[in-house]
Amino acid sequence: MNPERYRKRVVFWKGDRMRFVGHLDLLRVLQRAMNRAGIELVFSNGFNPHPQMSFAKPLSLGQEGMREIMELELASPMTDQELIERINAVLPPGILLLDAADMPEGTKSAMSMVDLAEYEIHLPDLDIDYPEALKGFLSLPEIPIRKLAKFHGRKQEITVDIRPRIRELKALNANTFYLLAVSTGEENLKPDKMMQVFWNYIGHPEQTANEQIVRTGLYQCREDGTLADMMQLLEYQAE
Amino acid sequence: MRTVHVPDQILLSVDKPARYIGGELNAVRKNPDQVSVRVAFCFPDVYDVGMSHLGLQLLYGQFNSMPNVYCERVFAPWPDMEEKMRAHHIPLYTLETFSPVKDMDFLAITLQYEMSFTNILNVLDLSGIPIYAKDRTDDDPLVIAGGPTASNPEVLAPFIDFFYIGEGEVSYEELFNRYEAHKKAGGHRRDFLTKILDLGPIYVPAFYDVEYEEEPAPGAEYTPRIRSIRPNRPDAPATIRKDIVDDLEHSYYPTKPIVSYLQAVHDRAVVEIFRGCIHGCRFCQAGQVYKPVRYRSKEKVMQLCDEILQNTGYDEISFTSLSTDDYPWLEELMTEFREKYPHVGVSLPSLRVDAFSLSLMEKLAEGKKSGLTFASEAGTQRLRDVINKGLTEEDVLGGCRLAFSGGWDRVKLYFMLGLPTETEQDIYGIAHMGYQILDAWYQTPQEKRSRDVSITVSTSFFVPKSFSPFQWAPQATPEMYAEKQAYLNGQIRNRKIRYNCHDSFLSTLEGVMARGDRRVSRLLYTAWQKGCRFDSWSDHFRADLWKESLEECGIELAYYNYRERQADEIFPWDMIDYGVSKQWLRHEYERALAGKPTPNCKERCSGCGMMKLAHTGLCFEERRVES
Repeated sequence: MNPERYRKRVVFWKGDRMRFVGHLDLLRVLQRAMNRAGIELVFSNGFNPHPQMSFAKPLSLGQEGMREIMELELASPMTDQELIERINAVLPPGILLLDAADMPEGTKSAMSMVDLAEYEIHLPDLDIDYPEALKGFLSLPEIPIRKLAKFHGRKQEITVDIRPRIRELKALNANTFYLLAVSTGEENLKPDKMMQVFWNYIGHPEQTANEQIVRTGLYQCREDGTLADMMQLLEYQAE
Repeated sequence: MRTVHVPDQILLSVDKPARYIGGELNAVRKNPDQVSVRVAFCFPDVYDVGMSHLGLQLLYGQFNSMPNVYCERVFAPWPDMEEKMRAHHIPLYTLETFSPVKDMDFLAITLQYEMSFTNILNVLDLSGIPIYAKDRTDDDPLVIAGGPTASNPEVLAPFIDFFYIGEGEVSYEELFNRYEAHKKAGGHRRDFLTKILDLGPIYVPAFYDVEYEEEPAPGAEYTPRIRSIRPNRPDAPATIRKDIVDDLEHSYYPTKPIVSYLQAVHDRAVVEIFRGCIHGCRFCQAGQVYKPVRYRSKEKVMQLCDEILQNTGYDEISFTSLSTDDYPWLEELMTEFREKYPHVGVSLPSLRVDAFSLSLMEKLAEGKKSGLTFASEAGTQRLRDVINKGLTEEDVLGGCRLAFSGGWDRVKLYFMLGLPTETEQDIYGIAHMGYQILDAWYQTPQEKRSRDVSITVSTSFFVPKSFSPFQWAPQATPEMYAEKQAYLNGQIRNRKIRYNCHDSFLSTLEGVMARGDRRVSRLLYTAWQKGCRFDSWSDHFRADLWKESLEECGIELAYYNYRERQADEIFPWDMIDYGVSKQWLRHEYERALAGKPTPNCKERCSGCGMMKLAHTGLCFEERRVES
């Protein structure tokens, strides 16, 4: 019989100054928080044992995440509430746990389940009719970006059309866009890269990176076409 | 309160933006309007380096433990950020409240190495503070400098309002309280400088006049020696005596250090187990300026560990001192710590290699065999006697044999090139030691030793420093350095031995800064103006600009570096008193040239003069025994 495992899926907010803390640094911030909170994680086996902690999708530098997902394996059982409270009590400003749930044996990692990411893009106050500009942008048959990628075994610059990766893009109001973007392991749309093309397209390249990008959720597209977030997936799984 | 706004767009366009945002765990939050003294503490290098520095954490914590003081941090922005700041007219700001540095009451700069000096001028400039102290007004903060490199303050003299000599734990509280009273009474900044002279460790360069001889110094072409250094006011003391913590056990220790988001260079908890060093290596400045030796008890160290680990969540800790082996309770401490914190990694710098330390190192690394390190410093016993380095060839070889039969496979050796009296034979001795170690590995039975071995020989260049016995010694020229390096490189001809070396011109400049006087300040200013900064980073070091500046300023290297100083010479730092007498240092220098070693402080007191300042620690015990 397998020994019992205590895996948790946790929803957290990362914003404020934490937006400038990269993925690997975030990992260490959280590991130290666990140490301070006295919460023991299970360590991986192998030459360089590391605590079992993983994230559904790294957030790009500068972006805020409203409902980010991480998964932990605890050394001993703990209620969701206790886990959240103990860690929140010791976290530095800019990060907060919001929700947690057990991951039953056999649950696939969120990393492998996410296929869509949802964003709000807040635009700077300029004399630009953003909704109108967006119409033109969306009518482009192709939106090519240049990126470094491994191609035929070596790193080189390639051109990728990101238009098919925009599942939905619309203006929520005069200064905000809504974006639903393909976000799987193989195909991933980076909203900051898309915005760079947008700024160039409307003739304002100097505004590049001047937008505020907020990731509002990570989803899986269900067979019936509805979106389920990572916590809902656990509920469906339980049913 | 003014604050600085840094747009996201800028942060996102530079490398590692977390360097510029503050807000880390344990960073102190206070309302600046509710304190009377605001201090910006500056480590004049990039954030990731500065945040690894214990002195910063210590003074930051101590200053903030005073209710009337708010201490914030500032670092040298990396060139990419500097460019953006200048382009967008963003002044240098504190990380805690994003206040302009210019709005502070004090800018306190820590001096840890000479090649950070251009960054200091850059920090002043980016803050909008006049570079020269004489140009500052009541609108500018008072600029303080302290730390080990303040042991020769003179190259920086025109840029700094006052230096604090010695250990900062002692007098800052009184200094800030006096400032508070002075400010409330509406006093001017320059007048404040006269109100702290009686504290003892305060050196105000503007209150001292330096006169020079008419004739060039012997061995120099046109630069004359110093004739006198004299206070120009009656209340400025003739000598400035360093501050010493009497009771290290109960002195302030930062148990809630700031934990950076970014991976700092040394990203771990740090506990200082003792201060000072019993060995008198004759090239070493730290060994002299951190005297006397004072220990923290094992119980105190454990208590500090408990608090720091709880407050930070670090999973690695470093026990620091100038020489770990000399901590009297090392073995007990390690046993106790390992028992209590089996999952916390331990790093022990500069450990002697013997059976105990090998088994300890293996335990600490949880079975992994990290490399062995030996700081032999010189290649022959003769030269090691000259520099008074106690490590013998047998210490090194014996340690290696033991380690090789335990399966260790990496050895690192550190040496200095250009030491006084060095001959070709001594340099050959460096290569020879590499070969002897390799031989020791071959002599180890195959079934015990590792499959392969890697020996790394690293050399740096000897740079004479103030307050070391070698302060009189000539420094080699870059050409001599290059020759020595080439010779050694030619002697190391085995793929199992690797040779690493440093840039020699950088050492030449370091030498000018380390023993320079006020006349050298112009060089620093010129080099900074031409764009020199981050000189200790090889990718930013601009040898060409420094060479131009040397030429333009007429800095004579033969005077500052290459000549041997005369026995009766007045040094630029002679007004500073570190407790160790110049007479004793001279005596040590002469013993060095005669190849005579001097016993360490534990074996026999050699009468360096420290006893007169020490109230605790080894010197004190010694005195008690004698009386």
